[in-house]
Amino acid sequence: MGLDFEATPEEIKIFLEEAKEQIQTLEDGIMSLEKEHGEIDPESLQSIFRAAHTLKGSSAALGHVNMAKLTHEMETILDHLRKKSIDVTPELVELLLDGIDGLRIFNDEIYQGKESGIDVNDLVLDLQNFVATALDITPDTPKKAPFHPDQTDLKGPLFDASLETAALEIATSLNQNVFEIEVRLNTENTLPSVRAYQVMMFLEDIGQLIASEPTLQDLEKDRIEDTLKVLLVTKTDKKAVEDGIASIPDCKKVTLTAIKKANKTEKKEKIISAKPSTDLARKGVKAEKRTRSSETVISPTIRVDVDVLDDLMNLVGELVIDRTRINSDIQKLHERKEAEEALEKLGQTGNHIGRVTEKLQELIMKARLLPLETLFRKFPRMVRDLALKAEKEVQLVMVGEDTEIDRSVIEQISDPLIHLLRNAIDHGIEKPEERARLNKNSTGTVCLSAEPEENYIVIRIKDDGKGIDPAKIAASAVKKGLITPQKVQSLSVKEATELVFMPGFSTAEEVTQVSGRGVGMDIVKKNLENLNGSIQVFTEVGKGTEFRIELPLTLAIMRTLLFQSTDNLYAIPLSAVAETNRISKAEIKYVNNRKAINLRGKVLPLIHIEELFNLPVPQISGDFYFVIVVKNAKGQVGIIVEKLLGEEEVVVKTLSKLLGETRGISGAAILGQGEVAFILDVPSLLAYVTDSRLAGACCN
Amino acid sequence: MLEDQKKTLGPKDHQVVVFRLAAEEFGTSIDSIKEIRKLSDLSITKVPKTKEYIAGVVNLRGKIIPVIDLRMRFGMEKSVSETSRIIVFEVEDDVCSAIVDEVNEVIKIPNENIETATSMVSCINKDYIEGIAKIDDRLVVLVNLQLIALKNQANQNAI
Repeated sequence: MGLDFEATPEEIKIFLEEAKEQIQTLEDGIMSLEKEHGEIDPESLQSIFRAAHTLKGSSAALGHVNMAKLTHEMETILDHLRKKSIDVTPELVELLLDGIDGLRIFNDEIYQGKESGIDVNDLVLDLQNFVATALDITPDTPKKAPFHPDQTDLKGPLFDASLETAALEIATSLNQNVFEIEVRLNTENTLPSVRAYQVMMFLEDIGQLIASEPTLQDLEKDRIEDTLKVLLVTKTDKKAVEDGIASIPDCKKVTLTAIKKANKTEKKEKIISAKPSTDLARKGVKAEKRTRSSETVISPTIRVDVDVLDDLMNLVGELVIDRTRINSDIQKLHERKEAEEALEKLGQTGNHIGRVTEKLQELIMKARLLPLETLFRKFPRMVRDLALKAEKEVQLVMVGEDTEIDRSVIEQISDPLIHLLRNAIDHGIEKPEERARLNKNSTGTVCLSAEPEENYIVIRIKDDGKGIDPAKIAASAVKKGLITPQKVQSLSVKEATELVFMPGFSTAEEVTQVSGRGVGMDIVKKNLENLNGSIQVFTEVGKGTEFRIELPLTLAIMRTLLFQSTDNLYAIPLSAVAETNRISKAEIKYVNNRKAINLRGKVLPLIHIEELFNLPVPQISGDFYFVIVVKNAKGQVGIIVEKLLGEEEVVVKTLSKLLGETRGISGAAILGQGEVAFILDVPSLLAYVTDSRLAGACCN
Repeated sequence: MLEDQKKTLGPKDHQVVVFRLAAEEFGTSIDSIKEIRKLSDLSITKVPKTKEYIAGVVNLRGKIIPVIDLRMRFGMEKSVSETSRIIVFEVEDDVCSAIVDEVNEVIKIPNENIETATSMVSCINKDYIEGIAKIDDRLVVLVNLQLIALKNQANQNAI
């Protein structure tokens, strides 16, 4: 069963994207089935069914037989659910979810070009057996009478049987009628296409057009003789439809035929003798699911509003005009004709280009934004499975999924969020009995929320579990040799809680259970800081814990403070700057051999920017130093610089990995004249300071 | 990927850019070379806390590209002159550049004139040498710039 499909890479790409959507819709639908305990809203059941149906069709068309087979079985079950011949049971939900996992694995096969080795037949068998048991069907059910459309006219059906069946399905689920309509048009004085169009519009208003001959496109091209045939689903009754069409001029003859379904053939359920390994298929799926990495594969294509593209086109058009104007002005200057005027116009054009490029920037950045929903929607299933495994009852509430964030950021926060959710379920929420004892609702709540705040997006993961006990954390840290017992005494409650972020805090055994990839809280923190973000934890023993993540709205542009020192240009993210100050050299005190000053009652350590980079410290003349006070979770440090250059919004350029390690620098920016400034990575710079201070202290 | 880089010498002729470092001549395949610029035309910004042989970065039409001082990389002393050039080349899906003393020519070398490098043939690490080419009575050491650039790559995934 090879994976060679007769489709172009383009077609395969489109298939994968749509299949992903359908599978997600199916999963969401099945999860809500579970929630509603059988009180299923017919509309949503219909949409789940449609998703399965579409997926079956497209995977069959592609040639992925396994996927089509599996989808077909699931569709059968969904069909039974629709017709209420089966009830929703937890077992059914579990079975369907296994089916979804199987579909995902098959989808991955196409994506990775590698077969997964799952035997679809076992899965199919499980599904069929379930249905058979539920329906109590024996192999020898006699076939019922075949399908007869109710025809008042002896003419044969106007449309393909498959179309009529499709129409009937839709009509039945909506409790509406199906009509075959044939309209003979008067072609003498008017364009029949216009009249036919009017008829179609009228019919669209009162129902759903399933098919028509000629089609709307044909009508737009005037391809019609004198007859229009339509297959319509509507709740309007026959007479009203007939009268409606007849009221449109030039409709000579209108024939309406109601299509009714007779006793539909009952599918004969074939029960293959049960192989003893039926459970293996499902176990195989579960195992495969675990080993597959939980990557959010963000597709390399994006959907962009056509309006945005139009705006972009317009802006580019304006730039083209500006270019022409510049060229002509330059020409004039060359020829020294009307030089003054030309110069002025150049200036204006320059301003205009500035405005246009600003708008271009904005638009393109917006196009890169994706709603967090793309990331969040796989969480309900994940939380459900985790809760079941941990034997806890957990409810996941998600707020603000429509908050948008840059696509590259979404990929990077997926793992940290998953880790935090797992923690909340594994360590935060207590077991139902425990919760009942504590007079809490036996179902714990984990709330995942996202909202924009100025230039940041704030994501919160909050649980109402048992909270983090700083004393326990400190004790655990001491036991792991991460911190000395003496140091623990001097820690504040906040600092003690934040010990969880220390490298090495998650032990090996915890880590394999969590995700098998060595993700500890320290990696979460590092990942977030790599994105210029931050994480904080707020907790209350017995009440719950909240992790607060801040992420910059976009990685691409940053507001920074520029400064210069020893011929080097630097930029500090404005978000890291607490204040700038001019201090007099006379005020400087020495603590542990290092400079510091008393800033409004608190000791502020000082360090030259050059020291942070092991460059020679320059001699700064005059009585004053310029100091940039930067803050992070740990505290404040004053960086002494030669010259402050002011605030500037810069475009962040990543530095090539080929440069090697660049500690303290998170990227580069190109300034107005083309010079390169280095963007400082404040957290790692400050880490250096504290470390060297500790080193200094020990040596003294 | 690195394997592909190593096998740049196939059975055909090779078009090679020949450049000079001190008194030795080196060559590299023209395939991955994007452009060659005068060193004096460009302004190199030193990046603090990087290896000595990293001259810094250069702003090339809005893209920030690392610059390797090839002399220092090969253990020679730093030296710039009027003839110094920067060779900009591709490395996997990234771009890098190197400073050389002079770019002499671009020449087609038939396969038979290329010998595999034996042991100590030059001051540079054998791993980067793809062969020795004989052009008239000159010996040109063929090097793989991609490997040289990649060797310095930051391993950002290390914990």
